This record gives sequence, structure tokens and C-alpha cells, in this order.
Amino acid sequence: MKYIGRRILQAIIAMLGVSTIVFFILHLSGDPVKLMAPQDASAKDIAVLRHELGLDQPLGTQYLHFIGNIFKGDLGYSYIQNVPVINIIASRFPYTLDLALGALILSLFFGISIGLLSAIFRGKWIEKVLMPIILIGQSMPAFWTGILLIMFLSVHLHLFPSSGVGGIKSLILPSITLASLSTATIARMTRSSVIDQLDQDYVRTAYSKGVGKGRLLVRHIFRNSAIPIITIVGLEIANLLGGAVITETIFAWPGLGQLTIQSISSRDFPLVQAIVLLGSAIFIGVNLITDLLYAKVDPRIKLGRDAS
Amino acid sequence: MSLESTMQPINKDDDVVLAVKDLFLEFDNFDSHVTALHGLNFTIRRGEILGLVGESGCGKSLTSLSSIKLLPKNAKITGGEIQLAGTSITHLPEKAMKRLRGNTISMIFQEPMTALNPLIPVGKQIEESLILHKKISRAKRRQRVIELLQSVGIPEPEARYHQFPYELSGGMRQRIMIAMALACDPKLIIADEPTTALDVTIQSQILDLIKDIRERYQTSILIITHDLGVVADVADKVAVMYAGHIVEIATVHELYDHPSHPYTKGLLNSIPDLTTDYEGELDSIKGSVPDLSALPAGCPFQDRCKNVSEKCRVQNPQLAPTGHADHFVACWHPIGDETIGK
Repeated sequence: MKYIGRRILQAIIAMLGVSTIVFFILHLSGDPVKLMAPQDASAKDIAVLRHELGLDQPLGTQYLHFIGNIFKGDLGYSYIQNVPVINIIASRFPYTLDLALGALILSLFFGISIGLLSAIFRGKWIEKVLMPIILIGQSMPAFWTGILLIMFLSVHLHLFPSSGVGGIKSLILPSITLASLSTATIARMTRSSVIDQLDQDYVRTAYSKGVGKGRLLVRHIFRNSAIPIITIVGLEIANLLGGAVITETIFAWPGLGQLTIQSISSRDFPLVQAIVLLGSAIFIGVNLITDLLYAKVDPRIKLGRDAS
Repeated sequence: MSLESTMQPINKDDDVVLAVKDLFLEFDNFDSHVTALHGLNFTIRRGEILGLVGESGCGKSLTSLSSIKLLPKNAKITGGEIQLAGTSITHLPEKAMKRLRGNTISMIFQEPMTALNPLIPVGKQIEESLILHKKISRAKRRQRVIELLQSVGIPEPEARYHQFPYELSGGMRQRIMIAMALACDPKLIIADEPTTALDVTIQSQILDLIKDIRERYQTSILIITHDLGVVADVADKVAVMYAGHIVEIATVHELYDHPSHPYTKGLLNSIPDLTTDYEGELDSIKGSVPDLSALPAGCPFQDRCKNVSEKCRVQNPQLAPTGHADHFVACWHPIGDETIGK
């Protein structure tokens, strides 16, 4: 528990760092007032608008105000929509969650089974067929995979809608697109981790007891090879939950990824800051869970002990 | 050259636990084809401890792995036969072999640090053999594991049951390995350098335990080592291996008192003896082990042997009785009997 407390404190410091960096970079990136004001607005109108948004104050004051509000749980109002950014994010997050879950299920299932198969059948035809497929999956950028899928499965075969939200059917293509990358990563990690374990001495001991291949995999190998797989899956989950910018844009999926793009291009500072803050919170949270899982899987890993 | 005539007489009686007859084993690497075992012959009887000694790469580990059929994928038995408790296992299908492993024959490995699964409690690892081979209830299995832990000298067995290998010392882990090998009361245990990785004091404890097991359960043990001291301590019989051949086989006392093969003699002379004053260096055998893929015709030891003759360069000597009881040597000019083979 003490360990978790310390980790949460670390997380707060990390997020503070992230929000500081984002705050200053954003304010360097341009002036939102000029984008917001109508083209025929007078200099006075612009000055009034700037004052309303608090952007006329010195940067330091703005920064302290921003940090202070975060601790009050107030992430501010969107410049553009004039509603609390938290509400905007809350309305978009479920879509990202759906997409992330879809992609995660696909990539876990295919990643782990392909990885396992190609490890067990190392050097056999199964591996020789599966690994190139994995390589293709990993080499193709999401925009290309997405476009190919739309072209064949929705334009030619009319199996799935090409974009937008509408039931489970519309979730499939973006999930596949998003999963193709993670699947490859998970499969490769699973494969190398399992192969690594197959060479260990305890495997020979198990065989000498009369253990068969199936039991060896389930009882001996799986747990031993789990840690690198958990690590990589954790990272993938964090990535997926942060919103898939490209995939969501291709499929007009109203998740966080799309929201990120929109908020950046309109210089909606509070919204961008909130999204980044959420992303880093997810990332840190997933990492914490991963670390806790390590200790569950491997009793040799003691939590709360400093690495030094 | 008749192989039949050179074979040691194999007893048909039930007492023979392991009989290796004229065993040939070949290795296929990418670019080379190596005959690693050249017609091995030996037997182990019930309750007997046979020590297999030799330098690294002489084929002693391959011999043990052949006996339990856990050879690397590129190794193949190309001739001869292995009988385990009366059954020929040379061409036994994997499924049937699986039923023997851990049950009739089991194995103790060199590195107790890595030979145990790091993430399974040691008690569970011992129990696994029982799950695989014995149809007994969970409670009975638990009880048996506790008994086993006690019998290999592990204090507080109930507590140890749940511990992980990393929580135990090297000696303790080797005891766990031994308990694991004993679980199903096997007829033969193969111990591959069981003490090499351990501290000297622990070594003798483990060797005592091995002897104790033989006394108590009449288990036959094949112990593989490069340490003649270990062999002298535990074994009844010794087989000396050189470049894939057994060059000499005898009871321990016979071998130490009357080594017949120049190689055996060389090995024995290279052991420091505290009762002798040494002027210079210890004896060592000149030269190095020949490349198995390019063995010379004739005796494999010819290039390092002081007594080498023309015959040694042409014809490979086979194991033949020395005249002493239970003592066989493969040499044209054995020490102590200059007439043999001439």
C-alpha cells in the first residue's frame, strides 16, 4: 500500500511535468483568439475576446491559474464550444473505449496465438507462413491498412460501413486497422519470449519428468514468458486508450483521437491540455497496473524496493 | 572386425536395469556429420551405481540423454540398442517414452539453480511427477511430497512445500531435484554432474544422500562426472569415456588400483595426492581431445598415447577382458599386461 501511495505521488509529479510542458508549447504554437474571431472583427473586439479568455495576462500568471485550477479539478471551458472540457471528453471517451477494446481483443487473441504457434513450430512451415504475415502487419501504416480494408470490404464487397458509428458492424474495420499493428508487436514479443523459455534448463527437467508439450506450455512456459508480454500489452493498451488519431480520422470515428486533432487545429488550449493530461494519466495508470501484475506473476519481483 | 564378439555379455536376468548394447549416435550439424558415440556397451544392475567419467565432449552426457531419450533434435541413435528394465526403448514412440520418464527412469541435473522452474513452488514441482504417473488422491500426493522432502533431508517440509526455488540454497535445491527424481520410485536415476555446481561441503552431503538413496531404495544410479573423486566416493563400477568410446570399465577399486588404459592412468595421475611430495607439476595428458568429426583411423587415443604402435594407427581396439574380474579395456597395449592384444 505504501508502494502504491508512492507511485501515485510519482504519477502526480509526472503529470504536473507533462501539463507544464504542454502548457508552454501550446502557448508558443499560436494565438487562438485570431482563429476564433470573425474575419471582420475589430482590434477592439479581439482585445475584448482575449481579455475574456484571460489570454491578455502574463504567461506566468496564466500558468499558475491553470495549475491551480487543475488541483481544484477544474480543467476549464472549451474556447470553441464553451462547455466544460471534461464534458466534451466524457462524451468522446466511450467511443475510444469501444475501439480500444475491439482492437485489444483482436490483437491479444491473434497476437498471442500466432506468437505461441510460431514459437512451438519454430523452423516449420507454420512459422514460415505466420511470421511474414506479422511482418506485413507491422510494416503497413494504419492509413494504408485502413484504406485497403475500406476499398475491399466496404466498397467492393459491401460487408461493412466505410465510416461512422453504427453498431458493432461499424466497429470492425477500425478495430482491425488498429489491431494490425498491436497484433504484430504482441506476436513477436510472445514468440521471442516463449522461444527464450524453451531453451531454459527447467524445460528439460520437465521433460525428464514425463511432461508433454501441452502441459509444458500451459504449466511451465506460459507464466515464465508472461512478463515481457504483459509489458508490451500494457503499452499497447495505453496507446489504444489514448485515442487512435489516424484510424479515427480515416473512419470518422468520434473518439479522442479525432477530438485531439480538432482541438489542436482550433487551438482550443483547455481541451488540448485536458486530453494530454488524460493520456498521461492513462499511461501512468496502466504502467502501475503492469508493475503490480509483475509481482503477482513472479514472486522474485518485490515491489517497493528501490532499483538502486 | 566383428562387433558381436566385442560385446560385453548381457545378462538376461531381471537384475539388469539398464543395458546399452553397441550404441551408435550421430550428430547432424549444418555442415558436419559427427559420430558422437561409437558402439557403447555397458549394463547397470539393480542397486548399482555406475560412474561415467571423461572430459567434456567425450559423449558422457549424450549417453545419459540417450538412456532417457531426451536427445537434442539433431542427434540420432544410428545403431545398437538401449534396454530399460527389460524393455527396448531404442525405437519406443514418444508417447510411451513419456510414461517411463519420471516414472521408471528419472534425472538429476547439474545446475539446481536453473533446472527448477523459478515460478512454481518446489513442492508442486515434485508433485508434478506424481500427477503424471500415479493415480492417487490430492491428499495422498501431498503426503508423499512431504515424505520425499523429509527423506532427502529437508527440514520443515510443510513450509518448504510452498517455497520457490529462489528462496532455497543451492544444496537445498539439489535436494529438491533429488526428491523430484525419487517421486515415483524409479528403477534408474541418471545424475548428470549432480555436484559440480555446488560448494565442496555441500557436494559431499549430496553424494552421501545419493549413496543413502541407493541403500534405502535399491535404486540404480548412473552418475556422470568429470571428477574421479566423486566416482571413487559413490560408484561401484566406473566406465571411462574418451572421444565417444568407452575405453575402460571396471569396479572402482580395480580401476583405481590397476588402471589398464593409458588414458585412465593419465586421468588418475592428474589428481593431486596429498601424501606425495611434488617436485614439479602434476602429470597431465599431453595434447587435446581429437575432433570428433575427424577421428583418426584406429584407436582414438593414439595421438596422445606414449605406448602407441603401428597397430593402434590402423585398428580400433574393442573392449576386452583384462584377466581381472569385471575389468574390460579397449587398448592394444594395456598397462600391466603387455601381452594382451599382441
